[in-house]
Amino acid sequence: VKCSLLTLSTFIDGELPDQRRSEVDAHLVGCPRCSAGAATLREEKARVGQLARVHVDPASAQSMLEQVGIAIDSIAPSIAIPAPPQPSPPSEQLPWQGGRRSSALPWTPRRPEPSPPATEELPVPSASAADIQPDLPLDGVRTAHPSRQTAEAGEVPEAAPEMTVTGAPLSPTREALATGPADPERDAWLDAPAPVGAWEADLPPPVETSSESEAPWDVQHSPMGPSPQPVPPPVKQSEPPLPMSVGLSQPPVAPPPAPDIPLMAAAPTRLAAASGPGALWTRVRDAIAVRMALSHGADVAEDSLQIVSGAPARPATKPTGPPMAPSADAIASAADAPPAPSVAAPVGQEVELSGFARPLSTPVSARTSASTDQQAAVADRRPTSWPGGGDDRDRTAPADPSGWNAFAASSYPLEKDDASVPRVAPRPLGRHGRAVAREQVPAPVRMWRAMARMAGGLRAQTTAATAAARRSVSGMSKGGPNSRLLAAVAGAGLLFVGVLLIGHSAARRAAPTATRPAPSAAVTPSHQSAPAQSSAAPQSDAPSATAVQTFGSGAGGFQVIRLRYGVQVSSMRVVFDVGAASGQAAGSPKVAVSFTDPKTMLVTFTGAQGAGSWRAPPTGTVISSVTLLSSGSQRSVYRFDLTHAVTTTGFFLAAPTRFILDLH
Amino acid sequence: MINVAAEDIAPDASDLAGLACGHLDDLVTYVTHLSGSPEDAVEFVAGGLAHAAKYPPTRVRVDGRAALYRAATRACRQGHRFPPRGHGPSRFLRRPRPAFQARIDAEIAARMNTVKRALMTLPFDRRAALLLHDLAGLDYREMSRALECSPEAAGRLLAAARRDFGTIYTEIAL
Repeated sequence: VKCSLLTLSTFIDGELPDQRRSEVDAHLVGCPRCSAGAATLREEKARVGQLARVHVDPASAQSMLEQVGIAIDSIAPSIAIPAPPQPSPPSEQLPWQGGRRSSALPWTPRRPEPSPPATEELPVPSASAADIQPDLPLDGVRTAHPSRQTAEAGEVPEAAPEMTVTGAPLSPTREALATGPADPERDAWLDAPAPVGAWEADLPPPVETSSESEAPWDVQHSPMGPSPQPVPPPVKQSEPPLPMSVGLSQPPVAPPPAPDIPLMAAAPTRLAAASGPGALWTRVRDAIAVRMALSHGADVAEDSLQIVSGAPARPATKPTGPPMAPSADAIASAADAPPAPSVAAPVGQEVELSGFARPLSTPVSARTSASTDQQAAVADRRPTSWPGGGDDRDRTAPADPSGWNAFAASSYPLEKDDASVPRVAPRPLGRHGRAVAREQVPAPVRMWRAMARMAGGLRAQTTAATAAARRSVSGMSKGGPNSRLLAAVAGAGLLFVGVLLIGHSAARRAAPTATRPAPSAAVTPSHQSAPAQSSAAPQSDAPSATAVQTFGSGAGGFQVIRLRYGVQVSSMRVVFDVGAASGQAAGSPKVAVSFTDPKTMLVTFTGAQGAGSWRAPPTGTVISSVTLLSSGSQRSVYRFDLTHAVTTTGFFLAAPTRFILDLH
Repeated sequence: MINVAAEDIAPDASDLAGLACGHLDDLVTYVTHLSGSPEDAVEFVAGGLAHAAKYPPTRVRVDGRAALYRAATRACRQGHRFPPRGHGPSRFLRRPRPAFQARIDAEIAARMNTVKRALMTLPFDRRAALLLHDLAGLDYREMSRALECSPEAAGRLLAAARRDFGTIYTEIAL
């Protein structure tokens, strides 16, 4: 039997044919090595098989199949398909999941426990979320109409149903939606008084509703028309009811009150001063509002002043002074206007709502009299309409569409064409006033103010520059043609600069080039100095004598044997034949070529004696005359008179030694 | 003849959906130990199922679960995820798709132990062969379908995987 790892592995997997399996089985009985190997393989198989399993949540599995696109409703019945995911309980489900409306409150008030038999017959809450959370203000005060409380408290025992019984308490079911609005009789438990201690432990205890302790955090928006009126919160009988402008948040919708209820006749109540930091804030806010209103009193219509809390309301009296003088058209409009109905309300206890965001069905502001109304209308020359014959000035569009604010007096807009109201611009200080002010202000303070002024100006300039830069940058990044144009200009500029640099470097490299004659075959320049650079070439200005070009190694014992000239195509060549004065001389003498002026060139040999005679230069060339200024054993100077300024290039040739000087 | 019902994939989708529902846990377990990450395993399995939906209808019927394992193995090998992840520089300019969120009980499977360390050292094919047979319980024929090879090759791959695994496990464990 050929026993191998493959055979053993296949054997323990049961994949061998029957005959082969029998053979291996018989072999393992007598072969401890293969038996040990098979046992090891079985252990490994068991180890891998004992790896932890992963379980996928059925809901997630269904979701995954749906996202993949293979989940369908009709799956083969032979295969058990997990049930669709059950909706998680409301406590675990986020409000934005499942398309349900979230509860109006961040907590759920504890309801009385339902009785088991009532669960079957209990109607599914068919009301909307607003019905489910009917009468719970944010401060935890259970407010309900007293009449409803008294009428229904006895009908709804403690067996009121719990909302969570049905499983989906916050959303209406289909049946409930089909049946229509909820029956108030069946939802009577909603207004049932909560038992004592039924509130959440972590919530503040319920506060007894009182007109004295009510904080002015909210302004009730009253609906229009004969629709259900907001029910005022329960107040003590001794206190007058709260005005409509200062109500609790979201009172329950109640049937319309009896028409004989004199809401308008009720005396407005000043809100009692609250205690705590809220009261302090209220006082500060009102103080600011009052001062701002007083400061703007000359420009602001009287009815735009609103004080709704602690601070006393300003009496609705006609403002005095020239700014409020009526104009002719205003008087005419006031004359056309019907008289406002007189309201039997106490004078000076009103709270006006001219800046209210929503129109009011019933004006709560009481006018003192018709004459007062007319005067106020004169003062307020805004176009007003009198459809109902009443004072509808509260129906005009508010100045601030976002709603009422306590600082409406300061933010109330004046009409642009209001010419009758003079706008007095603050007069700048005159010279005398400035002098007086300067004298009264100490010098350090004046210096400090001046520095602050300078800093402010600098800051403003910096800000403007930054804004301009940002605009330009944003314009470059956003604008298509402009950005391309700028990019093209920048590219052209870069290209221009690059060309300039390249041309400059090329010119510097090409300038010193000098044509050097190729040495003849017989002459091998074994040692020659570097070609003379023309940097010292005479220009238009006179070259200094210090601009000297030197050639040679500076050896001595030479003499200038001969001086020759050669006319080239573009230059004049001067050849100095140099030889050893006595015996042998190695190297080359030192030759200095300098200019005393553009037309006078000096050639000085150091270590070489000058030749006694030389041939005159050819006529018509650049060299007019040659003169040996000094001749000694160590130094000889030749002067070349030139017809014009030249550029020189010189070099030595060896064997025989010659000094070649080209004049360009 | 024109197949006018080419887009009607309901029967095939039904087969595939039923098959996937029946073997989803095993598939995710297999891919979890194959890739080493439960989160990646879910995406790989989803990617494999999305690819398996494009198989010819007979493949699922003939191969059965082997087709699913083949798709999952292929997705894990090639990194096909669902939802797909962006590739190339354009992925920096696009908003990435949210990852597939699935509730899985893979706390124990995510823990690393000696067996998993030894498994991670194996080559992909050998690791896949070992897991397919010893963990998922596929026979050689199904392994050959899943690994796209012959049954003999699957057996050899499995034997080599066991040999490597035993050697590495012994070294790690000691």
